[in-house]
Amino acid sequence: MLVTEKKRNQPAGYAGALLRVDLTTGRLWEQPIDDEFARSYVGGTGMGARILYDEVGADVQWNDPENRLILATGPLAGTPTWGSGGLSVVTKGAITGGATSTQANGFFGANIKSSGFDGIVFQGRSDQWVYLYIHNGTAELRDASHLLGLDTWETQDHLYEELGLSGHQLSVYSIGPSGENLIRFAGIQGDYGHVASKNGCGAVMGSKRVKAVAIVRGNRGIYVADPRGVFRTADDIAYQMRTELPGQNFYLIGTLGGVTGLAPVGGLPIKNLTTNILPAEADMSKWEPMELREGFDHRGHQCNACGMHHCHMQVIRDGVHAGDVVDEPEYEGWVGAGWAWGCTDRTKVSWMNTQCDRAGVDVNEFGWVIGWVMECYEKEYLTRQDLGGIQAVWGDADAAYELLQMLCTRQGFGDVLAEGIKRAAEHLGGPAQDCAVYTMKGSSPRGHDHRALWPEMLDTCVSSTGTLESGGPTRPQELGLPATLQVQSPDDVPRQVALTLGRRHFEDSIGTCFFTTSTTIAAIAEAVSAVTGWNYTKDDAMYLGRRTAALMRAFNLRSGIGPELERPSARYGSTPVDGPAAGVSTAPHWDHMLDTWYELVEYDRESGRPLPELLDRLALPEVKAELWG
Amino acid sequence: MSDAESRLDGSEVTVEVLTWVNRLVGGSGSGSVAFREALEPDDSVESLLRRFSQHHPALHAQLWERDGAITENLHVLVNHKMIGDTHTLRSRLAPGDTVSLLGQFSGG
Repeated sequence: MLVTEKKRNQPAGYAGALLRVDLTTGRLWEQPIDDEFARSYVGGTGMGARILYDEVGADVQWNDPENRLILATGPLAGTPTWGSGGLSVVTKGAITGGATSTQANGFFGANIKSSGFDGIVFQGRSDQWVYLYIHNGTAELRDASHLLGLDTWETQDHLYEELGLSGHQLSVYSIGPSGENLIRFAGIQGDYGHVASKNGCGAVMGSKRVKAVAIVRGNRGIYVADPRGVFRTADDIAYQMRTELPGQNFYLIGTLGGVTGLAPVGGLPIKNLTTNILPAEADMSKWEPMELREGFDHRGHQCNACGMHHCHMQVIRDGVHAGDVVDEPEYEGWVGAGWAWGCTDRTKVSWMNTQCDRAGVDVNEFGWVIGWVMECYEKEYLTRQDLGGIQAVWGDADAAYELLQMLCTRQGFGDVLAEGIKRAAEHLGGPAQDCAVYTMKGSSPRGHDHRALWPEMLDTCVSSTGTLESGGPTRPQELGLPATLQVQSPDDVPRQVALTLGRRHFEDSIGTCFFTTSTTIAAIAEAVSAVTGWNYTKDDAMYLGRRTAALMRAFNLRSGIGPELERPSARYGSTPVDGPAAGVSTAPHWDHMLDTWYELVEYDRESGRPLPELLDRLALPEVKAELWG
Repeated sequence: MSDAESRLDGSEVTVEVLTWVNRLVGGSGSGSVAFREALEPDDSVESLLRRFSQHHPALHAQLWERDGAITENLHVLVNHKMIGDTHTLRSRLAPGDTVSLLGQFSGG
């Protein structure tokens, strides 16, 4: 519901307050959002970055009560813009020990805004397990002891029943057993299939003993500055998504095109990056997008106000799990829950993907962990005895599921795997470590073989967010880049990654899904302008995104994460031995790419610090003072 | 080898259009649709694609940006290697080469 009259002193497009929750004391209070804060940091990741930088000191560890866990949305949340249920999670993460920015959608953003808040900031640690219940401007911490041990879908089912609400009436984001047991790659899952999965944000939530956040869809209207403009810009973006690339492809089939789209360029990870040759048993015609969709009984499972044919639910048709309802995997789910460890049975992969969601683990990291275990098992770096009797042979979905249970409960070698791929590999050391796929910061790549797609490898390694920070090159000409960028060019790659830095942060600050904003930044900025009444331009959007990037970079430097860690592990940075990208390698070009990237983003090459002139332009004097004295 | 490739004469190349991109050339949006295209003297990857796309208006509209550059939304491969590896867009083509068009994909 959009309204044209302010009900309190709130900026247009905002509920006007963050909900602060001190879990140690049980105190809850409103922190008003004024015009200056809203305009300077927008929402979501931008606001989260500012709070993290201001409130979490250098000596605070990810699992300390003093860490903050910020779940926030932005000004487009709850409006007619497609995918306007956006959630951004910002915290000091368990994997890198640095800043985190990770997103999900569903109905979080719309529900929390209609209940009177733009976000939640958790601090402290509860004595007992709790869940946070929010309803129309009220919030309370409730006992969650009866929810312990439930997976994320069971938690949502249980709260539906307990609260007498269902569907869009109640948005539930929770942690599964993995978060409860502080698995370092635990995520926060919500609304059946949406996961803020990166950098162990679910472990942070578990460390605070928060099992779930349950938000009733309230009846508070959202005051917007230009209601006609809001509908017009939402329609404009929707039209562009339906009719123009690259959005049109997401509109039609979501991310299902990834497997067949990436295999021909060597971008599909197969068996822990040991090969890029498609296995003989894989019938690739069954992996074509519509074959993937029609291979299951399915129906749309759209997020708030979304018209995309993206998120779907499926019913498993055959096998031991026939009849099970699962969420249709995203491309990265097809990889992490299968291809990365050699399973190409669609039904098994789809089922496994949902088990990862239900357990609350990041499916990307899961894929690298299982792929590594299976390679180590083949090479006898790990034995059946090490694995508690599990025969971890390539592609064995039953073994993978047993390993998932083992790591989620930290049983046996699962306690090592629960630490994430980098730490597990370091634990074994020697040649086993050389097989593992990770960055030296501790994060792991998304489900692509970046050895063929250099921009994503560079982006993953230099990122300050625990995952890709710049993201793909949507409409690069708008940012002064050529339309045609060569993804294996040591000159083009750092330009692309550097000059797109900021776009993703802006998208992750406005309360929508970046798949639904795969159009020009100018169009997105216009939509934000209509909601807020402030005249955002493309340049403003990039400026605000760069400010967020600088805050996160400064936070990471404070946390001891600098340029010395900006490189891939041995396997991640290796040369493909076969397939379309055989023989190409980033290694000879890595320093050159870093040099170019640093120059273009205006960070000091040696120390990693944003340069003083940049910080002046970004109006961050306090960051300049901290970094440069 | 596809049917189109198997019938190549000495001065032709194959243009294959993969996955969803082949909707733009009358395909189903999956798999591969292959065409034979005669080479002209000094044909480069780019000149061949310009001539090829003239016969396929939907592809033409999506393939070229207003400034004449190839869109960022598609990958171009020559003999199954991405542009920038063994060929650039300005590289000359040889009879029997295969030029592939594939949708760009990131994220997800």
